[in-house]
Amino acid sequence: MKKLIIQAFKLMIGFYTVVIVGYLFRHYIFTFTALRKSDNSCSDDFEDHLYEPTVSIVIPARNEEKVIGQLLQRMTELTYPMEKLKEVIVINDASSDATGQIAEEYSKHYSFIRVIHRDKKTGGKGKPSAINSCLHLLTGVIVLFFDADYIPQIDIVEKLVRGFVNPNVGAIQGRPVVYNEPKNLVTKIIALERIGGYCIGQKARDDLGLTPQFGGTVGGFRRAFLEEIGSLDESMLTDDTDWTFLVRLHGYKVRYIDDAECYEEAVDSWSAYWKQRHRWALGHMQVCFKHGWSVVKSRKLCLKEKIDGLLLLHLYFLPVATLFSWLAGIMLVLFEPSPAVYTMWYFTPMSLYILAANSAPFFEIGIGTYLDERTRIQWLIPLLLFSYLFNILICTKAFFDLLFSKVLRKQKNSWAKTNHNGGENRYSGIRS
Amino acid sequence: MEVKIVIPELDLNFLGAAFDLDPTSALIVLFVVSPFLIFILFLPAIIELKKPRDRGPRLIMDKIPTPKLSFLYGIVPLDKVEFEWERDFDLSLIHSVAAIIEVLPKFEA
Repeated sequence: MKKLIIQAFKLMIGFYTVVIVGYLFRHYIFTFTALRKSDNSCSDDFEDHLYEPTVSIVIPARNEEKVIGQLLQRMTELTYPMEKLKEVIVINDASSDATGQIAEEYSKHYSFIRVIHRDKKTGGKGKPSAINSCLHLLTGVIVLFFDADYIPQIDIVEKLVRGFVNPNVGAIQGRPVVYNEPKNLVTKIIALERIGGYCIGQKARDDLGLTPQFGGTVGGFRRAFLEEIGSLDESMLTDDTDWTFLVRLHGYKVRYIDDAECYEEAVDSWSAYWKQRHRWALGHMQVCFKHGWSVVKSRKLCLKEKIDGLLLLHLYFLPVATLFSWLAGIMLVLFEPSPAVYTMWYFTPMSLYILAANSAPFFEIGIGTYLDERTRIQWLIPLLLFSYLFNILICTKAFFDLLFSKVLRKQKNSWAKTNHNGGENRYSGIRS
Repeated sequence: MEVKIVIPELDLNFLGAAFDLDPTSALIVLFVVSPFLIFILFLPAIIELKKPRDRGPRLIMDKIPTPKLSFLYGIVPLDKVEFEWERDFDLSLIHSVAAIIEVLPKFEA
């Protein structure tokens, strides 16, 4: 029995080694690809096309009175031809604050802004449910989504829709930029993570012909695809990841447009960070269970897309595997305290974590900041050690929460929201 | 201080193998050198946090949109404003001025 347990722990560490080395290569491939392609500026294959399809914009909102006004004001300032902008639909999903009134006021003054009010009976069941309620109203060829706390550039619609010039493209994703970054350490760390994730991860995926991830906001779909799938799965916590794989499994491509920047308000406390990441981890794991096998057997995905898709789907399991491998290492030493070989087993997961799980993403973020001409913010990179350790706890809790929810079959659809205050202490103005 | 032998086959001990340290030196390594190295690791971050010199995102919007509808600023249309000074003001004075203005066009005729 003891031998069997020891073998199991060794197997666990061996498995972790293989997985972590896979992610290590993935980080380096992405980083070097983004670095190599940095000369030919972002999305240059879209540059020559003037493509102006009709567009619908959807803004799901629940208790967003502090930020909805600035987004709707920006909607009135968009440079996209007005005759092509069919409608901006605000879904006031059972808000208890003035979100609905503010949206209504804009709707009175601007005919293209429409508001759908959902009461407490029909609404409040989460973002996918809110979006489903307006799908039949959309008339534009392209449907774009913005969360209420985002502030797009005035020409963002032109930048985003040009990706759809290729009829095979089903979804497009722009780049969120944290605008309240100066506020505190949490916002700075999130800004770093965003730079790594978008400037390197998303861009490299796009350059390599893989599948960039749709983020649920600052992006959109071809309406034909939405009609094809009928409605969104309301049980998904991270509907964006679900959509990404739905698009790809339906045979459409997802593209990423790096210069379609949109400014977002990042969460500004560790408790809000925990809440947000816990939802992401839980939702991502949900999607992994839903689409994992479909990705493996899909005939619409090539081998490299399948590998990248599986690595993406299992991303939030990695911190859990890290913790388990540490525990396995400790257990091996406890089972057989003295021999050198067991001490090595103990140090293996630790060393792997430092060398692969940390250094490769740090390198990726470092190169991202370099490409973004943010050399000074690189000085904060060592602080990511803390957020990574924090993520180990978050993802492990999400993992057990998911297991228990599956066993107990408990699931409740609702909005998992972060509070927004309209951006104090934020960047503004053109950088010299 | 007893230094634990963790690799007995090779007759090595953890700290001794690397540094050939006596217990006092081992303590110094543990409590002085290690924290110093950790401090050095985080020093740039501490400096940047104390005196941020990062220039911000490479591209930022030209201006933050501010909601322009009057109600969002709590501005109430003029016809709905109830002027408080009316209560303390001698309205008879206004009536006499109004009466003068009223006859002015007749003079012109």
